Amino acid sequence: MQTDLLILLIPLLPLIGFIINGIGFRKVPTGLVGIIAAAGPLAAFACVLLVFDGFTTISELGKTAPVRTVLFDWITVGHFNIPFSFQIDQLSLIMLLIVTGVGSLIHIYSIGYMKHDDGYGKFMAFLNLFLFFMLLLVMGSNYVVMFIGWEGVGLCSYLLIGFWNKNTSYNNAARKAFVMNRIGDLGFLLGIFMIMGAFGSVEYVDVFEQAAGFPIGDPTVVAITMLLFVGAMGKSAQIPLYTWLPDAMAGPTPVSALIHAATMVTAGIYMVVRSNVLYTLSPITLEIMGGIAIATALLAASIGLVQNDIKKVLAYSTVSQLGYMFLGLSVMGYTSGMFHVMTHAFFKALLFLGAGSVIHAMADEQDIRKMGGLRKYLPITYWTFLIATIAISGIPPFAGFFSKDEILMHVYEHNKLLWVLGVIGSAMTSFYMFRLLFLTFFGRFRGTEHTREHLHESPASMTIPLLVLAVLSVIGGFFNVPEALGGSASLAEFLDPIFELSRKVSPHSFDETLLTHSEEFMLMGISSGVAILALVVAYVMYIQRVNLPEADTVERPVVEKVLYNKYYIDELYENIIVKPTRGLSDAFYSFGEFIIDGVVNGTGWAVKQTSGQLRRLQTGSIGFYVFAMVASIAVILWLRFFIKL
Amino acid sequence: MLTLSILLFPILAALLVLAVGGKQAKQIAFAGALVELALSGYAFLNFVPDATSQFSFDYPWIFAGSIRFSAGIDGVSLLLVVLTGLLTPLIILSAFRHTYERPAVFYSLILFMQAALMGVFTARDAFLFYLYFEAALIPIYFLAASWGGENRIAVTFKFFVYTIFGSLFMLVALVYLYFQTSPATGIHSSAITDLYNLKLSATEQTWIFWAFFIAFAIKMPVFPFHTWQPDTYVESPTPATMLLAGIMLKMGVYGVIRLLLPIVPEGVDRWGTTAIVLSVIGIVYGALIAIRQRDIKRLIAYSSFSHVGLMAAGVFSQTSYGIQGALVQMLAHGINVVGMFFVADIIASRTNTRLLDQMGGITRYTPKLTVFFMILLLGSVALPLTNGFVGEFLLLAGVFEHNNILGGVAGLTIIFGAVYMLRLFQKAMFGKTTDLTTGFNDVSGSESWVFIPLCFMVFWIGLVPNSFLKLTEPAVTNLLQFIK
Amino acid sequence: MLSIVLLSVFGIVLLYLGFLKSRAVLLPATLLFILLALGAGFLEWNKSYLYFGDMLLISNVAILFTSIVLVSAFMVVSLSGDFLTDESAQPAEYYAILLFSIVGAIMMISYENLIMLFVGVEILSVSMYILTGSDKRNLRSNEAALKYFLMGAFATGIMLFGMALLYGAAGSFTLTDIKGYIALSHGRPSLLLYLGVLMVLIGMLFKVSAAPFHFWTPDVYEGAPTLFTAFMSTVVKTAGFAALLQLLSVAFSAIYGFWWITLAVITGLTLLVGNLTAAYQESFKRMMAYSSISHAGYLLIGLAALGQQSKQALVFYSLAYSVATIAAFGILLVVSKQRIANGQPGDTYTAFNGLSRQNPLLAFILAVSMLSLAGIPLTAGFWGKFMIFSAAVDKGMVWILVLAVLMSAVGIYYYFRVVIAMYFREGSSTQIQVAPFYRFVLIAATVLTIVLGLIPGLFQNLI
Repeated sequence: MQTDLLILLIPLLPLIGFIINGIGFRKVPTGLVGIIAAAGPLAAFACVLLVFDGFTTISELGKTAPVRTVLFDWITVGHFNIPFSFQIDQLSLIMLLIVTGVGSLIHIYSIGYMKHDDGYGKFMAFLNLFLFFMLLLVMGSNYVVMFIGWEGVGLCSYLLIGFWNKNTSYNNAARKAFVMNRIGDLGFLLGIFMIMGAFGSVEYVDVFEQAAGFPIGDPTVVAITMLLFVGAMGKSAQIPLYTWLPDAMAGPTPVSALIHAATMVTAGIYMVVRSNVLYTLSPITLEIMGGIAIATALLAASIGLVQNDIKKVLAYSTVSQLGYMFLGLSVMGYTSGMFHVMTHAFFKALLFLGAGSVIHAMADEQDIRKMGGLRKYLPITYWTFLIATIAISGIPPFAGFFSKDEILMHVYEHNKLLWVLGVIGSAMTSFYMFRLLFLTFFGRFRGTEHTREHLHESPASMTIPLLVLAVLSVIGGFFNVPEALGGSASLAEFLDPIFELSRKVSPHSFDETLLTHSEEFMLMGISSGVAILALVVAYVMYIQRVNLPEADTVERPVVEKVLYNKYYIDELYENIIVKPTRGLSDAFYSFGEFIIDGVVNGTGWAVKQTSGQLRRLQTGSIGFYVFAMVASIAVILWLRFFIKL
Repeated sequence: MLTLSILLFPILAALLVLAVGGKQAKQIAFAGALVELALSGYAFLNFVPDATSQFSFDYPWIFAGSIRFSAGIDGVSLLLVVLTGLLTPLIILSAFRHTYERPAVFYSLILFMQAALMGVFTARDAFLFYLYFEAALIPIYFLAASWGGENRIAVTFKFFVYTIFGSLFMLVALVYLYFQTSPATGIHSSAITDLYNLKLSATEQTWIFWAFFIAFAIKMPVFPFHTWQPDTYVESPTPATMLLAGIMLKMGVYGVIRLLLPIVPEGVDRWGTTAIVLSVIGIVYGALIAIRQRDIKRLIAYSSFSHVGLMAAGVFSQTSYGIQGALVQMLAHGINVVGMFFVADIIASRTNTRLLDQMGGITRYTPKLTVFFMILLLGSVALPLTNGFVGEFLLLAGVFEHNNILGGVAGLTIIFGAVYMLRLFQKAMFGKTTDLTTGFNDVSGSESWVFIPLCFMVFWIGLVPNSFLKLTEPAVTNLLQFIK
Repeated sequence: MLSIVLLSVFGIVLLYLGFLKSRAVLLPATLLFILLALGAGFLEWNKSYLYFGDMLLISNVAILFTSIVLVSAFMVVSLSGDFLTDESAQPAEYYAILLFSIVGAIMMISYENLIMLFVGVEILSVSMYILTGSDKRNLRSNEAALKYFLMGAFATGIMLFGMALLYGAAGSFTLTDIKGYIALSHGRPSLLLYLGVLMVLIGMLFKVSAAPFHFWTPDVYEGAPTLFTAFMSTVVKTAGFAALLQLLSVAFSAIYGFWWITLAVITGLTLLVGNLTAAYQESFKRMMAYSSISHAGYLLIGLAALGQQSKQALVFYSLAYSVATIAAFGILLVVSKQRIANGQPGDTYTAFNGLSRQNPLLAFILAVSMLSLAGIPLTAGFWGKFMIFSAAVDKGMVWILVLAVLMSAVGIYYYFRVVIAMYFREGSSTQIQVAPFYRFVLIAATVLTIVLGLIPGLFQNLI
């Protein structure tokens, strides 16, 4: 019972924070707001640790089965029941740790970052609400509870992107995020319906148990996985539903860190890993996923090469890294995907928070062309940012190296071409990250004199989370060190029970790696070598030659122009989706309604016209009346007696 | 006897309002509606979840008792009785902020309307149902045409003739069915349950299906019978719009469940998919149109049209998801749409415009309104844990079970719904303030008391839908078993 | 029979009363006479007497129809207060003629012999010709009277021809004899009979203004003084339908197969013409004329689908229709008088603009009448239509039902234009006053309409 209560407390604590700060918005004293808001996630984190501890203790006894807590029956129709229930197992525990851990840090950071904003209390309340929904998403024991969280985090994302709601373009960005997510959500929802039809339940336990009996490539399962993947594409910003994520940077920076980097956007990966049995049963979906993932990774990375907004670069980087995660999943490297989710949460949150610190210092300036030389002014920010950059670039021995390398290794086993593309992407990652780092922190300061005077290191509430995340970014990789490096792959071992059914369904896919250690070393060498090479190129370009990106007005070479304008994808969507929809809407409203209503009114009109014509018969002339009468009598007699009916 | 009280009390209250009249009219009407709410609340609390009709009464009425004055509440009608009982006092309260000419007539018409609606939802005799179905039109017509906007006369007249035209077909069908009952004895019956047991040929089923369908499709409305609706919603005074959108359109959905499905199951088998196709077209069509509307009331009108299409589709899917979803969604939609129209009314009357492009930045002045509006909006876009989700989830599941592709197309509603609702919210509440919105007053006390129960219901239904689903369950199961 | 005698005597008494200086006694006297006749009629309830050499049969159905006629007459007379103040009017004569015409109507209702039918029709018709032309200074009134007379004479001729043919075939004018003849002919009666049936039918259809024999109706209704229009469109119609019912159900029920199609076609035509033409009118009075044609159509459904339901349906429908029509005309009288005094058009829709504010009671009464005529539930008119529709369904005539329903929708359109004018259009602000008794009669009519709408079974046991 103790565990049940703890489990219940995990989502409840942030919710309480939301309710207090939300209802008491502008009434709770500013000092208290931050404490209340941060207390919830921290306490939840503590609960997670306790649960984790309890769970690992149990699992040592060989009981690796998930712990389910049913709160109440939520929706019951006939024999079909959707309980409101939580499931704690290895996968949700990992996610819980990330969400509450990184979440707590970002809450603390936000206290410093948002304190002077008018909507401080509201902001903290929304963050808490987000956490609540994210926890539901992760903890739910069935697809519908996951869907609650899924939509809920979308809502919070909407609220927080459009947090500064006087600005119309921010509002538009928020709306775009919500709508694009909804497109994905429809796929998810239809997937749930198919699951209901095929398995008669939405509980993970029931569904996976039954699914394990299906043959590989079963069309229903293929359809389900495709639909669920559509949902994942929306939430985790994959082609073609990724364009909302860069725009989502309109929100305050802690939001970008928490929602649009560390947690929410990884929900798609979580879902796929959660449904790994289904995906293992559907190799076609995995193939498609792989294609989309690598395309997203490369596309986003290439756009990132030339962006000048500090947050935009990070945003495209996030899209690209999400692509890597899916790439890992697509070759059934489920653990490697989750591993990358974890390390990415550390270093990407760190990067965003660092960027936030920079923006904070620069008085809301985000253009890296106006920065430079900041390492002198913001030493902590600089050092932590550097660590994160190394981590994301895949340079050993920081966190990103291990997770990315594991993904690439799985890809290499599966498909050499994908691997080559992946390595190219990895080079791009390294390049744009170091470009960002160099332009921001090195060289001379390019901003205004006024800004220079304003420059200062951020307060402790902001730097402490940076430091914690930096540590994690350094050591995060050691949770799952490959065997070749003498590691124990403890994450893989821990997560293993999750893939038990997958293994049963497709034993070969989970065989021990066929690669020799030397091959593995070669792969690691290539990927880290490429990353370092890209670093050097960036160094040469931006430090030695002091190349500065040009102003927006300057004409660029074609390739760069296409990249700079993000392949004109937004414009493409505007032209092939938004405008036609609007056109259709206008056409329906003016033309469609006109026609339909025309038929209705036309009927009335026709009656009136007939009436008008009939009225003319009433001539008033008695001669005509008598004639009509006689004629009618004649017709009646004729019909009656001379026509045989 | 409870049902009888529910049916008669609003009439008495209305007569009292007329008799006392003057300034007290609205208070008396409100008090009367509260008593009616208590009555329907009592029914809700004491309802035993099984498939029977409860609190019922039954008196012989016409033709030596072959047409009976009989009514009762079963699982299918319960939620609608609750809805009517709940919304009417709120609608009356929401009208407090306006001063209407001849208030006694105005408020008594609302109460008469309530009586008629209660009658529709509780009637156990087909002709009694029909009578109430038609009678409901009279008060709403007078409400809309007397206190409406500039163009009200032509618009409401069209609405009136159009909807009556539709229900006349139902009358033909009912008379026909009535004469099919017990032909041997010559003593006919119009009890709805007796009509269920008729053995009709395939041709008869087809004809009667369409006769019923047209009647109910115009009322709901289902595409392409909807063109009366946006204009009527826009031109009517807001309380009348609330009655129309919140409760009256449910008469159509209810009619399908109560009469059409069980009486002509073969007709539904044959033509149900056609009906779903029409409904689904309506969902997408209405939602698309809503995206570009500039008039706040018209936007909500089209959204309501789109939503009701989903209910119709769900009902015609003949699945327990679909029908249960429709029942819950009727309740949910009634709550949301009344709330939305109230928001629209507050904004329109304070800014003197209904055009979205002339609004903006209201949220700066109105923390309370923002929260209420947001909650109702979330209900409308079917966010999980709000009332809209349960209904839409089940409805879509039902349509999807019936036909995957139609289910998928119907699902577009969750995308388009988000598009137009967020646009509405953004244009009105966010952005820069305009001349018209500067110094906007936040909701007052009595206005809050309209919103608070609505918002409470949004979460109640969203969080604990089973407290409603469980009550309707046996009736729906029974119905489906009967059809199959 | 007692009613016939009483009314004849009272008619003569009224003529004598006309010599009195004071006109004031005329109206109450007439009303009293009508009431007496009404009461006397019920003395013969449940007795089924044959009178006058077996030429009249007083059955319960006949008494009910007679009562409807008398109630209608009572209402019309009570709305006639204006005659007493009008210098040029001769109220005593009008009232006497009205009473005589009722005698004709009763004969049409309770005939057993075709001769009686003919005599009744003629008494009623001639009375109507006179009353139509009673507004002597009005050209339209004179024209209407002449038209009515010419057309009526023509129709009577045809009817008489038909009766002669029937006599030729059956050798008797008695309905039962004709029935007997048909029964003996083993389904092969002589051609004369068929021709006779059609001719008599056509003559009667003219009287009830069924299409295509309706052409006189709008002109005559519009030209005649409103009060007599009210009388014509109710009493004449009720009597005509009672006569048709008697003829078809007693004499010709055995050859139903022969005449029903003809009648059904005429029914459809009447419904179409009546409703469609009414929709275009701008004059309320003319609309009411077409409305009376359309109601003839609905009543004809009851005949075309002759069966168990028909009698009840026709009685109920006639009552509902008569009460609502007279109330409507009664209000038209008041309103048009006031409008004409103000120099506005008196009988258009616009005359009713703003009535709900000038006199809410009148507006309400007229609204209820219109609802009843339109067949909206909870009014008597709805149950009238309902019973008629039932009769049709009972005979399986669904197609005519569909037509009737479509036409009802058209009907709602033109009846509701009145409601719109009264409630939603701005009119002058002058109040309209009504005499107490006048008001009482109108209220009674409305109450009856609503009560019958709520409890249509009230008089059901009588049939």
